Amino acid sequence: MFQADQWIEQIRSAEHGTPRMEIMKNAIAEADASAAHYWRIYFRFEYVKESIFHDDNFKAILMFPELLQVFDEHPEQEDDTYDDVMLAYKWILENMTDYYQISREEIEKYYEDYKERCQKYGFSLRVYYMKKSLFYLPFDVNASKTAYQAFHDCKRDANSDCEACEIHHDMSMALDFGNEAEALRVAAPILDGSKYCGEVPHVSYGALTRFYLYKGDLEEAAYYGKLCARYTDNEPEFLAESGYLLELYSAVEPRTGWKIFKNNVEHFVQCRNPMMRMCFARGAYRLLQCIEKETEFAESVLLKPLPLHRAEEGYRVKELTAYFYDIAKQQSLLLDQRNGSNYYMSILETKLASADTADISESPANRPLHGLAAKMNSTLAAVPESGQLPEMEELMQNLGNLSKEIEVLSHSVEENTVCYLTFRFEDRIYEVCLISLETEEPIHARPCYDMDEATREAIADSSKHLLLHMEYSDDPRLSCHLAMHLLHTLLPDMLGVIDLITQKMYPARWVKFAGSCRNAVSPSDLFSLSINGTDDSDEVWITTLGLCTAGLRELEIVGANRENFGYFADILHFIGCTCMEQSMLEDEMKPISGLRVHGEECIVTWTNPDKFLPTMPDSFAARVERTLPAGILAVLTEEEEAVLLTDFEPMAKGQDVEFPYVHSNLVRRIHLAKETVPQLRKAYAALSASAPIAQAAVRLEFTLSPEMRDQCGYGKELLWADISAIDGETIIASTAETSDLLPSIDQNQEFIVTEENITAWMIRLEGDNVPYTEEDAHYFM
Amino acid sequence: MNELEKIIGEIVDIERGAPRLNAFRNAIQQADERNELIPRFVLRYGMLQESIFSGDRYYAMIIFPELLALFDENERIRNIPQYDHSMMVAFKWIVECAPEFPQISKAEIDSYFRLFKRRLLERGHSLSIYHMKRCLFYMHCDKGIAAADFYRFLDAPLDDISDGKALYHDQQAMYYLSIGEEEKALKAAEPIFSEELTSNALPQATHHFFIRFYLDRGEYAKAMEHAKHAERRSDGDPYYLDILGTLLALYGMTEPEHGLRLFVKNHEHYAKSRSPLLRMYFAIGAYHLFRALPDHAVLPDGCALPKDSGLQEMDIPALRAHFEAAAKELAQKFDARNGTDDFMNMLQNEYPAV
Repeated sequence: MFQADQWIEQIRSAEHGTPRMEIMKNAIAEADASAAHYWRIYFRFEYVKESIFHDDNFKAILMFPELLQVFDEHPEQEDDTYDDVMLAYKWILENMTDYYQISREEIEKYYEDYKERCQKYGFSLRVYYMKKSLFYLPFDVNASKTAYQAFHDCKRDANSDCEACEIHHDMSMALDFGNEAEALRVAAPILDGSKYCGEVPHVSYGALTRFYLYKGDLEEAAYYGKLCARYTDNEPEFLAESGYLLELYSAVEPRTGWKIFKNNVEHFVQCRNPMMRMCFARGAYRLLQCIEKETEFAESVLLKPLPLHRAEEGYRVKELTAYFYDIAKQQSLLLDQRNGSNYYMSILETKLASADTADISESPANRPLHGLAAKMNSTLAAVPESGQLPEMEELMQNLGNLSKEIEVLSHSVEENTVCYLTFRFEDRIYEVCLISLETEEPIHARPCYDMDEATREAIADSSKHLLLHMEYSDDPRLSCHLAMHLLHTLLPDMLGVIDLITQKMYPARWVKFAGSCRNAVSPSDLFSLSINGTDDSDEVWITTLGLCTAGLRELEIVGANRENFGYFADILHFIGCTCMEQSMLEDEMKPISGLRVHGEECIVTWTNPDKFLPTMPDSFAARVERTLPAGILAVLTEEEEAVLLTDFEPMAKGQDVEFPYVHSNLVRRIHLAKETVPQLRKAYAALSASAPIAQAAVRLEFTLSPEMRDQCGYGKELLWADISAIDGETIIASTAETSDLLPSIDQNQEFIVTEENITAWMIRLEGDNVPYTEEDAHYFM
Repeated sequence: MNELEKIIGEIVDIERGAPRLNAFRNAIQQADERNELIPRFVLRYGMLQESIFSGDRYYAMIIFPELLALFDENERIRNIPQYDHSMMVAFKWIVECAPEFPQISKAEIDSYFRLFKRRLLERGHSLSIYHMKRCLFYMHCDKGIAAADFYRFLDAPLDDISDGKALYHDQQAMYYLSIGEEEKALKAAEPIFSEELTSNALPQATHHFFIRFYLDRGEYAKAMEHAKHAERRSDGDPYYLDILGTLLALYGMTEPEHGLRLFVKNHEHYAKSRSPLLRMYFAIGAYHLFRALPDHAVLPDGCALPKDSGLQEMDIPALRAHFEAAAKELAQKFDARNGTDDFMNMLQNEYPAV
């Protein structure tokens, strides 16, 4: 007898994709042999679903006719399986147009069959018309428009796509019909994040990137491209979107395109979906055409799946260009032949605007500037303690000491001074460039973390540096942690590190700390404030340095003076941290933070510097040359006007500013406390040997009972406890406070401190006002 | 407050169970005589709800077809979103309780499920609740379908017809235990046992699954850990005769005297219950309790069955035979309806020696 439950358990215990599909195939074969008709349909449906969502849907296309046949041959199973079959049908209709092997006639037949079945089962024709409007688009725009209208005339039901997908469809049809303003209007819920699903906003950003790119509006295309890349890079099901990004970056930033290309080569080689292959190949062709102009050969471990590798030289870029052009052309021709149009070939033959030829056409009125900007590589310079830098090959011997979570994929050393290193960490690929550099002039930077003067001078005056160039990911704190870890592992005997972008200087102990503890790096570490003025003026101009490494505009305050610049610097610092934490800066004139000034709520935004600077032509701020995109902080009034912070009356008067509570910082510090329990032990031992301890305490977390949880709306309570003893590895603390929410915990009740229950620690010496906390763990590495 | 609200307000002040059901019956009769459409629907829904939650679901099975007919035949009712939602909730209850009556055939239950599914799809609802309830039924009919439905239930989103997160976890625990995945079951049950998630029947129902699981394996100490939680919340409640039955079987192996006291205290609810499923579980448990006792055992001091129970003169062998016969009759009926021998196996099971 067919044991379906055993097959199902086997399938569920396997990984998604090919492993599950192999087992499903075997289940299908056995169900067929047993004439277990319900299961013959069930497992075919599951196979189609697995292929659609965890594969390149090619196998789903092959399996679906079988599924339909078995279903039609066994009407006794209809009541129990019709909903599955109709769902599979919808997925197939959506994806079958990707395959030129399926003729137009065949597709039309499937549509009519699907329509009949919808009517039979009482399903709305909404999905039918929605998919049809997409099918017709490449060859019959009028039919597409008619189908699109009919889609909206039909009601939603259980068979319909989700709301996010429908909004995306509306947006993309508006773009295809040339109605940009309408597209942006309908897409608002996607763009503001209120509607999303497994593929939206991914595909929406992709569609907008393509639209603006082909329109010639490279700035707008680049903006949406950045957002698209956050969601789609290195995801095989979004290979087409990666292709759009390659097209984009061929026009604006080939270096970034090259990275995306390499990240997705393996997915391309494994993909059998002609549409996805065409989109990627077209993008790769355009990109490689640009790269060809800069370099003849390219080499990377990530390109290994591609043919045409030459043993000595790597890949000849011209050959790769031709390779991808041939694929793009072939797939375009085949799809056009199937459709009876020239749609895809004309896209391939379209010459895209480049940065110097772009001509921005009419844009929707009042389109704001975007907060996102081109991402600058972070550049860190490590200074050797001895004053001498080992040869690069010698430094690379320390790669074996990197954290086990880092997988080194490749490294190549050139002339013993440059190393290109590729590594994987948590499924993301990083490429860094290390350069052994000798300088003549001292590098001045602001010392941080209690650096002594002698060390500062030694670092500044050193002529030998190990430079690390790295593009930060969309998690800049993590990227900085990895960068510090790399530098400290490769050059353990260092004096410190200079961040050449932020102009900050870090002592070796902090570099080691930042490289060891994932939560050591705070948003504040990723940028600095540059405070500028002239001797002959009271004006002070303040700008951030370093937001660019997260791909954000630098932000500035104009109109401050020598008396109030500290006040405004605090505000700019807070805003900078907020933006860095989220790796996001909203569009011009959108709220980016709320502050309370003298008890009143006040919304902070930013504006284009061109809005204010022409009104102050003689100011220092107006005369400064800005090499990076920038925005000036302003207050957004109720009338939606922007007022400079320094002109906003309560701030101009220096009234108290209350910054909103930042939960993410608390979370970071809690995790840091858990990571630095060993440092707590060392700190306690070291400090108690040096001076009397006034207070040593830990903050512990306790889980609330269900009744208390219901009462207060949260699940854990934090209580401070005084450290009473540290015996080897064991830290014992007794509660210094109680809580009504924890009636079973008394004052002075002892607990063993563990990584699980600690959330903060502090040690204060007698006579000191400021305690050592988990943030100071670098002193005790 | 309108007249209907007043009537319902008066009814809910009445004692739960039979008195309240009678009050609903009378109110329905009056509404029928006056041919008042909305009260006819609302009062039937109220009666169905009371029947479901007061432990005697028999009337729910009788009233549901009337409720459905009123709904399907009257556009005025269908057009009121609140009543449309109530109808779907009623469906949910019915597909859950129909399997509790062996006289309702599998074909009829399947037809209820098919209709429920169709209506969910028509309204754009998630099929999560459909798969969950079908899994519950098919666990004793066809393990393949139960497995298929379980994973569909797991993967489908919850919505306003679904049973809620606590029961979502409870269902997972039950299923994982049924396939011997103890660790997965414990993980699924963790939010219930920590009381992060609660529901009317939880955590006692979840503890029940674990008691059953450990009892079958002879891991009595673990079963007892769960028993203390389950007993506290089910003792004296006719809605939990199934849990009480399992406890009786467990105590037969661990604390027979305690088991006897529990039996005597709850026998009255067993006697009055009209749920064949709950009666069967209790009877199976009672049989196992008496089977574990020596023939000469007597009820503990201060513990006696009521005179009208018909059992007060019976000795242990007689009680054993009585409950074996009662359990067997019901188990055979359920197994015949389901096409398996799950319940006869449960009756005939011999628990490992302590």
